[in-house]
Amino acid sequence: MKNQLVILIVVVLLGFFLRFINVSNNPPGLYIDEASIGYNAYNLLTVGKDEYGRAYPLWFQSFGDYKLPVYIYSVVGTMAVLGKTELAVRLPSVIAGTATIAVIYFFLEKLIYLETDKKLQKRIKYLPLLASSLLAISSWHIHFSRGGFEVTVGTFFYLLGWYLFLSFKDKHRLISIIMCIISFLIALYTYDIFRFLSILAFLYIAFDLKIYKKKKSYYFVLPTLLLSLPMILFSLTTQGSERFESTSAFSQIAAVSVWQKILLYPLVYLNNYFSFFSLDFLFNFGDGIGRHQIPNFGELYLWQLPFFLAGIYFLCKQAKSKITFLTFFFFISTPIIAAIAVPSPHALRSLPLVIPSVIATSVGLIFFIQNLKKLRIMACTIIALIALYQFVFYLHFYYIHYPRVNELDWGAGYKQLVLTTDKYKGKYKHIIIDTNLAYAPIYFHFYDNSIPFTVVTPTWKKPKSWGNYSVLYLRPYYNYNGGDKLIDTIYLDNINHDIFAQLWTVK
Amino acid sequence: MDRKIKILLISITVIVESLTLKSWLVCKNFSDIFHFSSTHIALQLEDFVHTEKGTSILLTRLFNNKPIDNILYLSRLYLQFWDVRFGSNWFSFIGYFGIIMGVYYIIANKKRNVIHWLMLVILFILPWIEILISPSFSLLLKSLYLWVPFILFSLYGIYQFLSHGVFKRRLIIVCIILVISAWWLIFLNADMQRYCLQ
Repeated sequence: MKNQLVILIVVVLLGFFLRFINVSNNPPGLYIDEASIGYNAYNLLTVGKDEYGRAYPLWFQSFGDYKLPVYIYSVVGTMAVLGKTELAVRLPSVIAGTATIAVIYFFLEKLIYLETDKKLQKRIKYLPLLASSLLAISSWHIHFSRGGFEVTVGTFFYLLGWYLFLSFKDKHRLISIIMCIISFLIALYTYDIFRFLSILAFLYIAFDLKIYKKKKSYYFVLPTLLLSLPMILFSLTTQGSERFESTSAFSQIAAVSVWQKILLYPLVYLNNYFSFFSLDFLFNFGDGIGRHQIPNFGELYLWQLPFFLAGIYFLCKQAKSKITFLTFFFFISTPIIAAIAVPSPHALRSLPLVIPSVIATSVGLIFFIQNLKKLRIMACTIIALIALYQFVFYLHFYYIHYPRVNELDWGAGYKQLVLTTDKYKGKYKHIIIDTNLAYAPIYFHFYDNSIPFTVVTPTWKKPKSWGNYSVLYLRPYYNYNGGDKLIDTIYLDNINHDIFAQLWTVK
Repeated sequence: MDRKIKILLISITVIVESLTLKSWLVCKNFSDIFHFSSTHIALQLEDFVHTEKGTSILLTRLFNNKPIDNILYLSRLYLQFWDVRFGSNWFSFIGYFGIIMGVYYIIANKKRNVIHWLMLVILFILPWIEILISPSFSLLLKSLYLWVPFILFSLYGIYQFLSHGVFKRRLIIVCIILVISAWWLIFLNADMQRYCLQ
């Protein structure tokens, strides 16, 4: 046990370094949601209001997507210490990602302890350590822990909630169930998918503990309901369902009549739902969104595939065990809400799937090795070498290729644009930005809120009322011949040094 | 009685699975996502090496070389064949479910014999014909070795599924999947353009 804890500490430290090293610069640049989170957090920290002037709001309007509060308020904390930096925006995610590695260990340890099948209990005694090690090196989890993604924090609190629930089942301590409820509530206010998953967890706990038979339970039920109520009510408003409306899979199909909807909607939903279990998504290409992954990499390592399948098989064979039940519960429940939206599959919305995937792979590995009668050491060595190679292969692509190939997915270029504009701002009366640099305003707000600017369309002409005032015009690179003077160029950091934007003086 | 129901269900399954061919017969071939191409490997390698400008040659060689790229590329092509999105179109949902059950019951069977192993080996080898050779004849002909054996195997899987556990419960599961499969094949057939060259 002591040895396991020492190894766990090493694993958590490794996980932390993998998530923390160079996190300010890779992913290369803040993407728009991160910039928006950072800007709102900074405003809260300095003036106690969000970007729209609302004091300490529960929902952040942002780009109209109404962000949930937990991540933004946690960035307020990190910004108070680190200032308005990329690191401050990403640190809550790094910390939550690292902490999840420890939580999965304790969660599985407790689950095994509660297992009634003593033979199985003995066979999987190394499962917690193996699962936490695999989570520490999971490319899926590392990737989202290194960006300012709310889902990482949500996954942490969600898993913590389950661990505390198991703790309560074990020792019936009041504090465990209170903390469990608080964890699920925090997850509920962290990221959209937990609006469903946390409620589902509450329902599960309610039925598992048969709270309807115990009068004292109402001391817990009422506060939980009251604290969930703002979220439930918000979800029913147009603002609360805005994100759902804009990404709904059903709005993409041209079903006109009620019959067409009845015929097609369930099929579209099923198509999306099963796409989360597609081998192509899990092991081949991921979801294809540059911000979510390295191109040509799946969410799980290819070497894990046989053990993942073996794990599913062995879990099916232990159909009545608690570990099978909870693993499949996670597998089945996670995409339920994510499948309503497009694109589907979506690595971000399904991040909690990494937990059952890691458990299944670990179970597969353990049973595979235990079933080997001969050459066990040789098999372990070969597996370890292949895993190591693929892990280093991933790191190589993450640190060398990813910043060069996917920088535009992360809003790279915008920071440089703001910093370069800052150099010239004193010389110009007006600074205008072409709408094609669509996300420029939020980056200006985040990196330098003191630069005044106006956003204009590409057909913009200098108004006569501006007379001879000097104008700095920021626009993307395109064949422009307006007789103005080019004063600076922003290059991308990719291998071809493509032009991202240009700064012109308008006469 | 149970036996008769099983036979009836298997017959319905055959009909539903046959529906998949309807949409495939308009295709000239499978799309290139299944076909091995050495040119693709060469171009990809060139692209990777170009991106690594400034990196030590040792690292570049270690991670960008033909053996590794070939292994990754081939395994990707192979996995596409077993992907649920392709499977739901090519074998139908019920077919895909049957194949998974077939594999499960063969592996779980402690008295498995040579025939069982042979079935598995054939099943897992057949997609390589398309991946490596990519014969350019019609999909109807291809279905003889890429569809028929899988459908037969799926029927075996469904039969095994119905023969284990609580019959009524399993019967309901198979019926639900059958209805979804038929519904799917008649009304949606999503992602066909990804797999089919018209």
